[in-house]
Amino acid sequence: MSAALRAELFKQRSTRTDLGLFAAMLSLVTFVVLLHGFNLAAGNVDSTSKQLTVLFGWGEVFGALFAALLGAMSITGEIRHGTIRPTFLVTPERRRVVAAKVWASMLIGTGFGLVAGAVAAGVGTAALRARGLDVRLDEGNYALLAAGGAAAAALWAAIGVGVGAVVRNQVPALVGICVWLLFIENLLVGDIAGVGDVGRLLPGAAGRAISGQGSGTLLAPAVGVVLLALYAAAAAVAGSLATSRRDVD
Amino acid sequence: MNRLMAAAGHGPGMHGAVVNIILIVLAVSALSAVLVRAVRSRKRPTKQSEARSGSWSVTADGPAARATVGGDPREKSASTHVHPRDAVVSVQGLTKRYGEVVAVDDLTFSLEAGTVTGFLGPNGAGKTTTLRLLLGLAEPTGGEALVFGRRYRELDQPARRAGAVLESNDFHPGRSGGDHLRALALAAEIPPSRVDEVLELVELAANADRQVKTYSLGMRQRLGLAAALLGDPELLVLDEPANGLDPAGVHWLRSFLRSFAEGGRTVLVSSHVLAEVAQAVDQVMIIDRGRLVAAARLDELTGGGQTLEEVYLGLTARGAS
Repeated sequence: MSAALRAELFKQRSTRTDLGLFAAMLSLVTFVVLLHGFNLAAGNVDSTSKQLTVLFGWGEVFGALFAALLGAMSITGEIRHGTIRPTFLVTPERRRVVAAKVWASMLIGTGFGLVAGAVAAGVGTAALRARGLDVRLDEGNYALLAAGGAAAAALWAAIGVGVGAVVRNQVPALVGICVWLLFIENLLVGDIAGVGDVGRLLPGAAGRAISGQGSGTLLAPAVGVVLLALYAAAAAVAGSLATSRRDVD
Repeated sequence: MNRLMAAAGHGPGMHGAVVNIILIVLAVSALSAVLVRAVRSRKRPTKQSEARSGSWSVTADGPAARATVGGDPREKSASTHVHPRDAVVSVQGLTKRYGEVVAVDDLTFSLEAGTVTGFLGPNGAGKTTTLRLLLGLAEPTGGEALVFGRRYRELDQPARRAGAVLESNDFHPGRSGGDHLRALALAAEIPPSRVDEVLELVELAANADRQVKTYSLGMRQRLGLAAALLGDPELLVLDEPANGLDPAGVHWLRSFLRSFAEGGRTVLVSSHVLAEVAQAVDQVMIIDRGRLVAAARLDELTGGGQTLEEVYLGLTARGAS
């Protein structure tokens, strides 16, 4: 493990930022899955695909979202508080700093995604059982929820670092990620007249596909993970280039 | 249709609408919390932005502004007898433009080991920009700035060669002072025991576990200095280190800089406060509107019976405006 990576992991755990994000993620996943689990009409959760997409998939969505926020804050926070200056004085090769932030955020993002996927699976299952509805997931579905959620969150953490490095200003970067994942992508999913079904090729949809959601409407999980990895690599490279070329105020 | 909506909104029909409204409310409240914090903790303007809005350095335009001590500052440089390759700091024709504004204009100087050099000039003269160029935080438009004969970014283990403090508050407010140093020590591959040493050195050991947001300005200045000293460097670069220090703090800083240089190490310290500098430095460089207007030993500069203040005001034309 490189010195820069060790330093990044230490930075992440020496403030309460990650803990706050983790707590917010846990409460949102629990709240939203409970809400859906108890409120959706029985007819909307009567198949494996529907259950994955409208109920259990929330774990992946919030895992990816909060991992992206964590990744973005790992660099926008340094810019905002000025610690980017001592960081670059100690490690003047900025690509190494960005790479360390990508790996550190992916590592912690994996944990976020795993926990979010597992909590959604547990809470969703409990909610359906409490209503006396059938849980139509098998072991493979559960495994994909957790593993796919972890992979999607890890890759989204890398995207977050890239977005943070390019945007640099903390509030616009975080707002942009939230707006993109929670609203814009939802508007673009489905057949768009004249363009066709491009929505499922977007990074948020690819993340959902990884955890097994939207069979038929989204990509296969394996294709989703490859596509999202390409997005993550592109974002990391863009962030690295932007960081290396710009002056630090 | 139902499937599409499910995929799109993650919630079909009425439930989808309810959940979306709840999500919007949650997102808005979370974002407003972030915004409120951002506004509250907005840092004071940096030296750079103060510099750009500084007025009197722009309006000062008297004939004295272009005067130099003894003509070409390069000839009069306090370190002309040092070959630039042997110099600790070697700056040649350094220029930095921001659009139309020339922040640093063809600056040339070198510093030899064991000296304490005061880098003086009005706000906005280009001091901070020069130091950022020297330390690889900004790229020069022209010329070069070398540290130990190389560009800063090309140094092996730069923290062990040079230490710098460019702003007085470059800390995460929620991280403890000790952890701030530990993170830098990890990145620089410096043993953790050195963190405790520098904390003792700047007299912060008792406060190392407190979050930086509880620190006074003087404590933050000392924490920044501790970070610069982590690698036990041969060169120390400080930008306005005495800002906000009380008289005891300034005294402590001066004696620290003297003892640091006595071991053959080198200090470059910028300031616009002359009194704090005069007692601590061997030589001064005065910069005005990006250009070097004087570089000499302190005793040479004040040899004609003038005080440093009189020389400075004459050269930077503050007195003329």
